[in-house]
Amino acid sequence: MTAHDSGLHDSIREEVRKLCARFPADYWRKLDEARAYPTDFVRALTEAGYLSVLIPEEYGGTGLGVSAAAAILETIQAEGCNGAACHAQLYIMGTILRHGSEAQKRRYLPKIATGELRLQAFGVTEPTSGTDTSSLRTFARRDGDRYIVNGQKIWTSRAEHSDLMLLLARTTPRDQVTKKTDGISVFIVDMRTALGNGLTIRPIRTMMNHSTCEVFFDNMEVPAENLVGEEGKGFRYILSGMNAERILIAAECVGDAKWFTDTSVKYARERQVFGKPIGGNQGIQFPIAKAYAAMRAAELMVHDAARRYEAGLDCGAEANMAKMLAADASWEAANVCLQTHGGFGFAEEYDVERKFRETRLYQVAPISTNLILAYVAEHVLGLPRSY
Amino acid sequence: MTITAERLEGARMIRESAAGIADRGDVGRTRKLRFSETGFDRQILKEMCDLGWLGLRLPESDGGSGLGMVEMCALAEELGAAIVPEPLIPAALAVRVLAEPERTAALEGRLVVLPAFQEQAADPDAAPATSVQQGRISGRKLFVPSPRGADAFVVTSREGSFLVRSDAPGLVIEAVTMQDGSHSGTLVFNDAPAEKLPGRLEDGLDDACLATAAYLLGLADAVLERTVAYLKVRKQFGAVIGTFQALQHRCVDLKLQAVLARVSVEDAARIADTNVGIDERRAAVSRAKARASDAALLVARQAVQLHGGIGFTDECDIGLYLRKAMVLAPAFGGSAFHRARFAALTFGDSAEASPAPARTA
Repeated sequence: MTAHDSGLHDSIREEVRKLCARFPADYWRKLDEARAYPTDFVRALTEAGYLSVLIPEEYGGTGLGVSAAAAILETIQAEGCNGAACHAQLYIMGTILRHGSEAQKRRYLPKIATGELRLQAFGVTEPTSGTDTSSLRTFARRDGDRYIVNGQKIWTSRAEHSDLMLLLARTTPRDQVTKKTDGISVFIVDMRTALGNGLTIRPIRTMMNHSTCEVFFDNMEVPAENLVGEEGKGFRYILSGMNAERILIAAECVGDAKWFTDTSVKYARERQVFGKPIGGNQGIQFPIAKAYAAMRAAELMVHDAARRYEAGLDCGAEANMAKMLAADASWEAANVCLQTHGGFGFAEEYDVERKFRETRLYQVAPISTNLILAYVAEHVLGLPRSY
Repeated sequence: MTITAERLEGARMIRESAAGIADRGDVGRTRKLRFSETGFDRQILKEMCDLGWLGLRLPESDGGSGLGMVEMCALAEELGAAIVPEPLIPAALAVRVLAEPERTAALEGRLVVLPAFQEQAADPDAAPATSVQQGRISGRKLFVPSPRGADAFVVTSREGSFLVRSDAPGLVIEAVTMQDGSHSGTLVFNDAPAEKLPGRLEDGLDDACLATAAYLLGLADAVLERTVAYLKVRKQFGAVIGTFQALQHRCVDLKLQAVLARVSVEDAARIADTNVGIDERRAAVSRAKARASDAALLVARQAVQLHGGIGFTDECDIGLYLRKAMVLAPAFGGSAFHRARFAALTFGDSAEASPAPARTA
C-alpha cells in the first residue's frame, strides 16, 4: 500500500515487501488449515536480519530503533503475511539488554541476533492471575546455585518454537513483601534442556494459527546465573519492555488495517451489483473511508509513541493508547472488509476471514482494551483506580 | 381491563379527535406561546377539558371517562406529535386526587391544578420530606411544570397529598425559563395553608411517566416524518438528498429506535391496563420511558443534523422538537434513572445501585 506509507523507513518497507511477495496468500492459507508454524517465512526474515533490528551493533544486531521495527512489522501485515509468529523475537530480548549482566548479554544477544537462538516465548500470564500479574503463583525457590521452579503459565505463545523463555516467577511469597510487585524475578529458561526435565509444553488450539501454549513447571531447575538483574525486582524489568511490545503490535494492527482497506477497495471497485461497482454506493464506500481515517489517526499515535520511545522519554500512555487505537482501527477495517465482500468474505480463498480472525486477537492481547482505559483514566487523567 | 377491538377503535377515535387541537403539520401555535407568561394557552387547555381529556383516566363516578392507559397513551402520542405546550399530563395527574368542588372545576377547565412532588433532583420517586402541621405546609419542591399558569398545586408530604393555592401566603415560586420556552418552578412552602386531599398523588406517577413516554414517542415519530419529507425535496449536486444512501441509512437507524420505543410504550400501556403486580407494571413503565427519552433525543438531534445549516436556525421548526425533547426527556425520571429502576425491579438487589450513563447520540 505505497500510496499511504508514512515516508519513514521507505527502503526497509520496500525490501520487506519484496520478501513478503515470496510468501503469497496460498502459503498462509495452508498453514492456517494445519495450524502449522511459518518456519520458512520466519527463516527468511531472520536471514534478512529483520528480527535483530533492536539489538545494538556491538551485540551483533543492526541497532535500528523501534520505528524501524514498527515499519517492518507493519509492512509484513499490510502485505497479508503474519508477523505474530516471530514478532516477540524482536522485543523480548530487550529485558536482557536493559537489565541483564554483561556476561548474559555477550552470551545470548549475538546468537539471538543471528537467529541461532530464538527467544520469543514470554512466561507471564497464569490461569489464575491474568492481567493481575503481581498475583502470579509460579514460584522459584533458591537452592544453592540453582532455582527450583514450580507452577504453570498459559497463553505462552511460540513456546514450541523458541529455544529460550523469559520467565516471571515469585521468589518471595506475596505475604512476605511490603509491595505486592516486589519479590518477583525474571529468569532466562533454556527450554532445550528443561523440556522433559520438569518442563512440559501443551499447545492450545485457537480460532487462528497462533502457536500458543500452556506451560507446566514441575521442579524445573534453572541455574542461578540465569537470573536477570536483582532477585525480587523483576516486575519492573518486565514493565519497561512492555512499551516496545505495545508499539510494535500497534504497528502490526496498522498494517492489518491497511491490508483490509486495500482488499476492500479492490473488491468494491471490481464487484458489480445492480449494474455498477458496489464501491459506488455510499453505504459501501463510507464505512471503508471511515475505517481508513481511523487507521491514519492510529498510525500517527504509533509514530508519536515510537518517537518518544526512541528519544528515551516516558511513553507508557502513548504506547498503550497507540495499541488500543490501532487495534480498534484494524478491527473496524476487518469488519468493514468482511461486510464489503458479502458472502465471499466468508470463503477461505479470499483470505478475509483468516485475517479477520487473526486481527481480532489484538482486542485482547497483549493487553486488553479495558486495562488500557483503566491505565489512561488512572495514570493520565488522575481518576481514582477502578479495579 | 382487557384490550378489546372496541377499545382499540376508541383509541383510534381519540387520536382523530386530537387532530383538531394537536395539528402535527403546523406547530405555529407552539412557536407563538414560547417564552410567554404561562407558556401555554389556557383556553386551549379548557377545550381539552371539554373533550374529556383531563378526566380520561378518572372513573365515570368521579366525572371522568374511565378509560385506560392504552387510550391515554394514544392521546399523549398525538399531543407529542404536535408538541403542544399545554400541561395536560401533569394536570391529569393532579386531578386524580382532587376533592370537590375543585375536581369538577378542574375537569371543566375553570381551575388549573398542577402537581408538585419531586424534592431530589436525581430521584422523582424519593419519599417527600415536606411536612404539614396544623394545616400549614413547609418544604421545597423541584421541577414543577408551568407554575405561573397554575391556580393551585397538589403537593406531596409526609402526611399525604395537600392542595395549596398558588396565591397562598408562605408560598414562593422561583421560575426558570426552559429550552422549549416553557418554564419550570421551584416551590418553597413556609407554613403555607394547605387542605388535605383524599388520594395519594404518588399513586399516579407511573401513569404520568408513561404518558410522557408516549408524548416523546409521538414527538420522535413526527420529527422523523418531517425530516424524511425534507430529504425528499432538498436538492444538492442536482439530486434530492434523500437519494444519498448515507442519509437513507441514517433515517432507517432512527426509525428503528422510534419503533423500539413504540413497542415498549404500547406494551407498557397494555401491562398497565392489565391486573399485574406493581413491580411488573413499574418495570414496564421504566422500560418505556428510558427508550422513549433516548429515542426522542436521538431522533430530534439527528433531525437537526439532517436538515443541515437551516436546522440550526430558530426559524426552522425542527429545533422546536429538539428543545421540547430536551425538556421532557428527564421529566418523571430520565433514561439513566429508569434503566437503573428497571434493573432493580427486574434483577433485584444484585443490580447496580447507581444509574448508568444515559445513552444519547
